[in-house]
Amino acid sequence: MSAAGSMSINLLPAARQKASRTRARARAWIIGGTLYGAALGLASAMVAVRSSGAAEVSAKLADSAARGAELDEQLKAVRGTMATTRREAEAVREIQEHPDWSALVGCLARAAGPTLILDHCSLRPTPAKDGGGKGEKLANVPSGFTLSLTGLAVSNADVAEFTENLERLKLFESVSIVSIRAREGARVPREGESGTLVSFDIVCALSDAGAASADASGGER
Amino acid sequence: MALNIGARGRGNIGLDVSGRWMKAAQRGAAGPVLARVCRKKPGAAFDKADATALAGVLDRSGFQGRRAVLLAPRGALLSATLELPPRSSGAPIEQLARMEVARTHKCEPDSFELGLWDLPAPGREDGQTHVFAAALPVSQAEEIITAFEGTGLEIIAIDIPACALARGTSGGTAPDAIVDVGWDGAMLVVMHQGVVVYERMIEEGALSRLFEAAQTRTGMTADVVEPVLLRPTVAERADVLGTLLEPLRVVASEYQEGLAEEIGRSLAYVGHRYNAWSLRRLAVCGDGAAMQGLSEKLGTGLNAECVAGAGGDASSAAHLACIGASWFGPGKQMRSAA
Repeated sequence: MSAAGSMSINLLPAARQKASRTRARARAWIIGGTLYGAALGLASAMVAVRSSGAAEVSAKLADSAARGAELDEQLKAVRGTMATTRREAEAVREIQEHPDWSALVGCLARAAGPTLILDHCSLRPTPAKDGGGKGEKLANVPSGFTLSLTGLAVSNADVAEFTENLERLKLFESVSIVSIRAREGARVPREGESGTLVSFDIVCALSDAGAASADASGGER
Repeated sequence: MALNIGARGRGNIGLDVSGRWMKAAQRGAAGPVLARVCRKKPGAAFDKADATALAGVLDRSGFQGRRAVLLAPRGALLSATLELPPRSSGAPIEQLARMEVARTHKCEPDSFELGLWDLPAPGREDGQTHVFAAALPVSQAEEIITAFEGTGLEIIAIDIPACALARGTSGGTAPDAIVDVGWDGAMLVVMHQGVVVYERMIEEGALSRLFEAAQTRTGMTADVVEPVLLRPTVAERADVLGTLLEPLRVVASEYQEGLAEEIGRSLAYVGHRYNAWSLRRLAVCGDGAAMQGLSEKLGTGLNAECVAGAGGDASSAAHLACIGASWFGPGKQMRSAA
């Protein structure tokens, strides 16, 4: 197009040109505002849609967390049940592997002699020492047994003899006299003897190690 | 007229409401869309009834959109070639031009809209700034624009006919001059170095004068003269109209010779002013472009190639100014003193 072809002069009155420009500007603002509003609405809608998706995921995560906590609680309960069951199994095994304690009573009777009376005899499992490790050995599983003996003797020498007899059995890991004291009001019942009876308290530790040493020495059991 | 969203691709509607026929053109996919409406009162001022009739025809003729560029009425346009101080002097060229136009036409400086553009320097170098100034009184512009209010058409610009004609012929081989044969006169536009350097409204070339002469000498009214002289396709087909052409030949020949003589005088002036300019190609357009024998007569009389319309497209020759107006856009070297 030549220069003449590109010549354009607008002889529209200036007031109308100004009004036309104002209308065009207003139209552009309206169109721009409408487009902006539409874009804003679209963006808001997209954000809303995405937010609803995030909320759904958050809800799923919360559900999963709750489910995980619930499973943890169930796991703890199962672990407690397992520990109880394991303790019961250990106790059963201990009972099943327990020696014939009636033989022990016979040994005690033979070690006591005629000058000594046993009025109480108890055999209790010895609690294991807590090592603080992570091993599965339970605190209540016995490491051995403690035999407590109480009774009356004619004299202290009878008590000492009884103690020696017990040690001689090679059955116990240790034999300890806890106490010996005169028993007021308890007289020797046999004629020709005077004096007051003494009561004693002896503790014997019975363990697999002691039994093994007894087996090695060929001691009576 | 209904607002069509897709009308922006079709561009503006070019409107020409001068003379006996109102014309419109708009760019279309298969060539320009054209329309022509005969005014009920050609001599009267353009009014709302004319605007309503034109808008109705456009609505039914496939025009789209409502933005229109109006050609300034040829009778109302004030144009002049001015010699002003050189721009290098810092003189307010636009204000001086406005004052000069106001003085020449004896009107207030702020009573018209003014457009001007620089002209090539003439053969004699005088150091002055030569501008072409075109002015349109605001009152006459408002009168026409007001008539269009409420019709659905929005006048977004008023174009200068000479510029519109130059724009309309800029697609192919640009002519050296254009003559727009209209009801009120024949507008001669001369271009040099791509710029409109001369414009003259030749009143002797008005079709109204031809029609008056025909009615006086043959008794034929304008309704008969128009199809016989200006619509040759009809005349060739109808023997009856062909017999009517014979008595009109003399009148038409005299009209064409007179028009060629006036054009020759003007072109001689332009040739004297611009030594490097010469007429090689003349484009004939307007309502009289299809007149039988006109192009041949002008070509012979002016010794130049004479074509109808832009690039010889006679079908749109009558609407050439409207087509150019529909191409109205921001100019690159035009100055408006508004």
